[in-house]
Amino acid sequence: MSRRVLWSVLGVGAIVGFIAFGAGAFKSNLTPYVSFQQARATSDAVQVAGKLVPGSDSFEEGSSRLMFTLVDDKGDTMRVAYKGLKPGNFHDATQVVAIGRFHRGTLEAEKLLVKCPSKYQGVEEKEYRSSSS
Amino acid sequence: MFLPGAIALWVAFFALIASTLFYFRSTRGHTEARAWARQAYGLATAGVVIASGVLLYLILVHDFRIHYVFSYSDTSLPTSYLISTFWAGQEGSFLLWLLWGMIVGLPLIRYAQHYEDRTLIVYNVAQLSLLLILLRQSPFRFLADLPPGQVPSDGQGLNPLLQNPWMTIHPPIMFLGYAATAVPFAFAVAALWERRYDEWTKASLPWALVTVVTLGCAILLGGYWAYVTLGWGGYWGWDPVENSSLVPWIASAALVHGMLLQRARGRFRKLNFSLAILAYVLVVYATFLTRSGVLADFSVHSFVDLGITGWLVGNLTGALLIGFGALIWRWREIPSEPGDEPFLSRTVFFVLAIAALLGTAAMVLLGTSAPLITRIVTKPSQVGPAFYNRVTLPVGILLASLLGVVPFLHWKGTSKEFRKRLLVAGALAAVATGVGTAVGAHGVLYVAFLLVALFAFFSNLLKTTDEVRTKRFRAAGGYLAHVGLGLMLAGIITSSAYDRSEKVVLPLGESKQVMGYTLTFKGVEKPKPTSREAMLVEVREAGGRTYLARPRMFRNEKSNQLVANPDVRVHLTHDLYVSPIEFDPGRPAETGRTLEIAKGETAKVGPVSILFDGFDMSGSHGGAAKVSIGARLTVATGTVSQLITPRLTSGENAFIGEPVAVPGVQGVTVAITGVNASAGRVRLALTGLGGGVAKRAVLHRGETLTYRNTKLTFDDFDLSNFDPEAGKINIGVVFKVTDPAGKIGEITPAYHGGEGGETHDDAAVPGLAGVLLRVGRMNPDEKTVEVEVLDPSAPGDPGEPMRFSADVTVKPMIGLLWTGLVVLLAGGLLAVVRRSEEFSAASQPAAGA
Repeated sequence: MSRRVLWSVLGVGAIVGFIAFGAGAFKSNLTPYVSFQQARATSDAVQVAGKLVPGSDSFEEGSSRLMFTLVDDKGDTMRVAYKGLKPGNFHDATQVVAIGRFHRGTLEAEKLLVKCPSKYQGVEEKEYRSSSS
Repeated sequence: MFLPGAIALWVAFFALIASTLFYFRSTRGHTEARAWARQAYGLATAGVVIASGVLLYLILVHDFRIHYVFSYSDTSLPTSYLISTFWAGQEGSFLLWLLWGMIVGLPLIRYAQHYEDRTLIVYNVAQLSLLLILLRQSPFRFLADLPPGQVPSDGQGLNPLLQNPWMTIHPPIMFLGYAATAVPFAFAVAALWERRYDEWTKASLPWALVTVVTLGCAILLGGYWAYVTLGWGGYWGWDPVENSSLVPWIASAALVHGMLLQRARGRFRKLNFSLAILAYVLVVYATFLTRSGVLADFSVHSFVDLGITGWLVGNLTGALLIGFGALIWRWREIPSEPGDEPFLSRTVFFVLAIAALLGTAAMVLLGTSAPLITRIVTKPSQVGPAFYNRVTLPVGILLASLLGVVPFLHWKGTSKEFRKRLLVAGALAAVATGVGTAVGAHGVLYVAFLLVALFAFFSNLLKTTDEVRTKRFRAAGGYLAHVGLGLMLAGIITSSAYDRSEKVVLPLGESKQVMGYTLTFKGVEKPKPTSREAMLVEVREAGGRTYLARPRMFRNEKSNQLVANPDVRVHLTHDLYVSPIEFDPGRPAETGRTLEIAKGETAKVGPVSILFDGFDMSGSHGGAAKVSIGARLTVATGTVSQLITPRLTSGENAFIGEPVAVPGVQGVTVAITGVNASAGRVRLALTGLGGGVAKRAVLHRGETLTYRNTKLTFDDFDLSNFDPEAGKINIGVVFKVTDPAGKIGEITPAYHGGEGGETHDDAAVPGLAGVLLRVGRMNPDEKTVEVEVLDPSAPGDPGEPMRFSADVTVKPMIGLLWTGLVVLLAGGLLAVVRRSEEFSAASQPAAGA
């Protein structure tokens, strides 16, 4: 009987531990959608969405970063730096979502989501990110 | 609505309802209704097959009146991609899913035995839920607002990223897996309904295995497609769409193990009911997540709400209610056998593995659903790959450890060879991991994961060879699958935790060193006008071997979408992955200038003015072998003016224009490149003109630029002809010129802007033959002007070479991943064959089917 109790305690402990671990990881990895203003005010990872300012993108050779400017509905702008590859349909995007942290005047994006005109709705494309997984 | 297709779907709909009602009548003791139910099911299948045929036909004949055909295909697609257009969009992929479902149902009727009536009722309801979506969002509807009698001449085309062999076969395999999950679900509910809690697991085990193999295969193809075509370097990105095939896969794998457990131990009935229902509910939930638009802001897959969200929510609620409702209804009746099992037994290890699989599935599901969950309390948020990587790592280590031990466990204890075999497998894994750390593996958790993954690999490999040696090939399927799984896990760690990547900018012809490779950009390859541009990059490996990498970068003409495909070079120990970032075409070097003038006209090129007086036909005698045409040109440079007559002479295959020196300017020649005698026009090429920019500067007022000992001083702007309101944007700039002898002069080059684009009125610099001063952009507020000194003796614009920027990645041992997956699927397939034969042998097909 005591062995049963021991196993039950271990089992419940493992389950509770795993849930706690998962919930902790979940909370610390959440990236809320925020406005540009809010993004500038925090050092947490966030995601912002905006339109690409035409012609604002350039490839910075020294740091190998893609730099570009997003503008939101209110006309607020945000400079974004991205270490990864320029998404193929970047210039046709109706909206660009950047996920990362704001640091010294630019949003350092870890991941970009590029939304294209509805023509390709339902078509599966991939995300672009700087690190593979 | 295209009627033949729509009618076929409606027929299928009513036939399925009829089939369901007849089966229901059969459950009430009127067993003669069962034959009718089967007939009706056959009719429904025929309806869906015909509807699919009609859609395929419409695509193949390019009927662009149809919205679906217009949206996803065009006339330029080859037949293979036209066929894959069938499942390129929402409606078509639902139809494909339904089609598979109907086909899977045919053998199901045959083998369901006493469960047939109730299983098929549940199964039909599941099919109806898909059919309803198709009736609501029909693939056969016409383009809206099309004027009568008008048909678009071409469609919008298939996304170029999907024009790939892997992507043509990925969806059919995937939807077969999705369709197969409905079978264990239907059996589970039927078994609960009928209160026969055991036999159903045997009947549905092959189907659960089919799901594991097909979804696994689809995931493999999808990942491989992403790896070789998308260019971000990975094969898995934890995107909602990827997760929505992974979670049902994991749940089905758990179900397979649960069924084996119940079979061997006669226990865990409730677990299997829960798992079978869960696997199907997860598929429906995944469909809801990815097809309803709820994640539209969180996935690049740009799912737009097509107005079927309500239906999808309805399906999900229905599946939950039917499945778990039935389970709760019978819960207390389901017999359970309590009893302790020794820890070191296959039974306990299976339970632990199922728990670990479910834990993984739950976490992935939690992450994927993050936007929905967080929406309740705060703003919708999502979690990134970091979350998934963090939570799956410990579970992965646990699973791999279990996997390594379990081959040598019996259901109720350890086997004889347990210790010996585990020691061997452990030693081999330790040696392999040691080699791994010696060549760069690091990080405690990663190395631990690598160790247990290799342990699982070796341990299952030993067991597989044991089985093969004792001629029990059939039993080897499961172990073989786990050999593959071990390899796969090892490959995932080495290729994602230890990859190295560097960005490089390659000007044409210039070699650069990247991680021990020498890369040289050799130019752009486009053998045919329709070919997709490939960047030719010569890669010299450390050993001295070279190969040509062809990463592609091209613009899709239909969508104007820039598409980049990487080049992947497979080596035994690693892949070299060259992914395009950017292509800069540069500027071509200026080699000469061409001009075309008519008889009597004068053209001015740099310091040279040319008057075309007329043709000189004296060289072309009738009947002579050679034909020669001359052009009389009066060439003036500064004060010199002279008549020259360059000629165009017929050669072996072509006409050749001999260059003639232009008097008065060193090294300048003129040649005829073409004539149009009837129109009296001649085309000339001038070379050696230089006219290159010898010096370029921005001058403030009063500043001096010195060129060849001549001083040019910016004196003032001359705005005498400047009136922007009248459209006159002519700005002169006055320069004082002081030659080496101290003689002072004044010149006024001008800039003309306005409607017709900018032009320059260059001024000749006195004392320097042929040298011109040009003014460019100016800033009146700061009183600055951009000047260029053009000198015929200066070389022409050398241009800028084209440049190609690429991301170069070394992915160690990624081959293990692909090999492992293939072995895993082969093992799974072996298990499918074994279990379905086992089941057929143990039971006779229902009579009359």
